[in-house]
Amino acid sequence: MPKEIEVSINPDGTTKTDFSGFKGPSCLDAAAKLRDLLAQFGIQSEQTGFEAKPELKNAQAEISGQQQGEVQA
Amino acid sequence: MSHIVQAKTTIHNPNLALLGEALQIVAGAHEGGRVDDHILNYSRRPQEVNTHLAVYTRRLQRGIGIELTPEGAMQFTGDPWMVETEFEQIQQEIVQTYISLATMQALKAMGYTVEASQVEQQVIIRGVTYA
Repeated sequence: MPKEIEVSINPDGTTKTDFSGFKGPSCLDAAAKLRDLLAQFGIQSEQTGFEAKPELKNAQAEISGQQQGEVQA
Repeated sequence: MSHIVQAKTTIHNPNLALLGEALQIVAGAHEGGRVDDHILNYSRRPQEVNTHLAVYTRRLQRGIGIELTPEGAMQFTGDPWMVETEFEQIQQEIVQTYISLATMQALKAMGYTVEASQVEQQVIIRGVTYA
């Protein structure tokens, strides 16, 4: 399955970026990389909204469960 | 599948070559559009802008220039008298086009195949990778 990043840019400069096809939390790394590259062009992004898709929620829940297991052990 | 981020953006210390490219695209989309290195003031005398980037259209005959403040903030300069709507519209188009071009370059640098489209007033940049 391909990884896809779709950025919608409005006339007022606001953006909506949709990450899809990523495994687990790797989409967050891609988002950070994109943000860093845009900063090289002088574009500073201030996040105004975040929506995790089910796959990311599941991955985060798994990581959180593993961490709790390690603490209890 | 993963997540959706909404953000507002500001531009500081833009890449001037890319900004010039954005101005050429915006100028090309308007009747009588052209890029120059100065604007005309209210008495139609040339006035320098520190980026040497300005856009003229048939409606914006005195031009709209781009200046950087000492802190690097991008701001627009010109005389909007009688052309307030066009003055505002061109500013938005320059910002939107610059962000679009930068996004395309960023996605390419990440190894994505990139395509751009326009849906009404929104520019959509779509990057795909099979890596």
